[in-house]
Amino acid sequence: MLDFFGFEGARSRGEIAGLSPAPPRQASLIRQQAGLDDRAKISYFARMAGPIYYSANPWYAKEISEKYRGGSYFAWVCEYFDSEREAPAGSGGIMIAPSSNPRKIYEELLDEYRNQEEHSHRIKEYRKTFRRLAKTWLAGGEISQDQFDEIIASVQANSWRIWKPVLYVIPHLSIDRNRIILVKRPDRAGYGPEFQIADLRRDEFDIIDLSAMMRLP
Amino acid sequence: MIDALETKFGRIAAAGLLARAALSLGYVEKSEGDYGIIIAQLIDETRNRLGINREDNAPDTLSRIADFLDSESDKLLSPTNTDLALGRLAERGDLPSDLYEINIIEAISDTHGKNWQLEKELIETTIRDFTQEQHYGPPRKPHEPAMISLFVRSFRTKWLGKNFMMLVAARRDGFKLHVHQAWRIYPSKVNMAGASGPVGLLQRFSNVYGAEIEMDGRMGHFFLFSATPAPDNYKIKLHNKPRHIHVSQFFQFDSRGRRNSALIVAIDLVKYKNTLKEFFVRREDILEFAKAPEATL
Repeated sequence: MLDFFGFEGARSRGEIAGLSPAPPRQASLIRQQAGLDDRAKISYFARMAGPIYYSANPWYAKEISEKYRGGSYFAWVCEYFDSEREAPAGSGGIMIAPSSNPRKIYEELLDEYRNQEEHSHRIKEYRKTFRRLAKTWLAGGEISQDQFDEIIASVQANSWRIWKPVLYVIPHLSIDRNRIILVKRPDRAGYGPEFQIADLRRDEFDIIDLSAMMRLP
Repeated sequence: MIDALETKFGRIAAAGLLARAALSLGYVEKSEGDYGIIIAQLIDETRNRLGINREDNAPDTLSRIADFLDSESDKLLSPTNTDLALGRLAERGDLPSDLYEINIIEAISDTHGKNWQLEKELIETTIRDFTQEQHYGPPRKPHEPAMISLFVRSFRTKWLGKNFMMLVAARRDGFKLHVHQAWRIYPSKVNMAGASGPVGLLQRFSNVYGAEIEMDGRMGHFFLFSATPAPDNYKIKLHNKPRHIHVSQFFQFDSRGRRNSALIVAIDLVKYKNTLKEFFVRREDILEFAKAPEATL
């Protein structure tokens, strides 16, 4: 079993980018470079955690950060976009719970957004969380009563747009390590590492809309 | 404890503490310090009131506790005037775009004739599911556009060369969006590199499809603002052939009630229609064209 050369990885990345899987010739090249015979099955791709953190969020989280939080973003992040497929076997990354996998969060939220899933548990929870956060910001004098009303009115309104997922892509090498908080084990859904950055600035990361590349249900 | 919160901390701070307690249920790691103690007491009291065992930390149970804390904090806050809040958002251009009622002016449907239905869907999808947006708020300075929103979205087709961007410009009027301009921009025809935002794209588009007109003594095909509105149509002769020039503009009024106009583009519709014919994109050619979910206020 080969776990670091990337044939299957090319396929999984290809799905995201709308490209076709890597050709068989590439598989034989990998076998050749790895000194494996033709029977060696390249079964999955894995790689080291890269210099990027990923975080899937509803579009409204971005709006709130920009319009009511002075451009300060909160992000719960992962070292892999798709920890299930990309994290190496035996690493902590493979043990990131599916409920914390950015790709899974993105896909599920996109599905619920496209299908206008009125019973979506995730959207209900987002609604509650934004309401609670707005109350704490109002109590702390961080937002005005008018701004509080606008947040509450927006999450209560029948908008689907605000739940459309976006992906934060965060190159973390330039971020001070003290700002990256390892979420303690009891607060993580699995053993795999997850981090929080509470004060991201907009110039420290990109926001990507993958919806055109994700398959329609 | 819950009943005494308002007296002790005040209405809004008490609501904030209850909200913080509800949020803390999402974490096993507990807050420290005085606030941590108060939050722990609030949660304990809620458990007692709901008859929930201290050891019961099942997700549904925690959700019930959080909902109770939410309802207590809601009681402390005055009810939100939703219409007023959404009205403010609409005025600034911050309202979620799918909450606007979309009205497309007749001139656009006339341009597309029998292909209008597809174009209408493209326009509505662009507004509700944009990739770029730009909004001009209420009038603040003279000689500036006001109450105009622009949206951009890309559409992929089966053929790379037929992919296009849709650019929509609309006037905001309460919860209504009156669409005055909607253009398909094909990258092979219009150089979009380095265009700054939707207005920059509109300018690039007009550089290709524009026809020169005179406004306020200046010749051009794109004007951000003009103190004097242009006529809607011009008839000119190009290579000795009559040519119909369509002028699209947003009328607005200055503080003295004088009419002026903004985002004025003079477009040679024949040239634009020829491009649409040349690319001839049908509905089935557009990949993964999911109409954006429609919301109602």
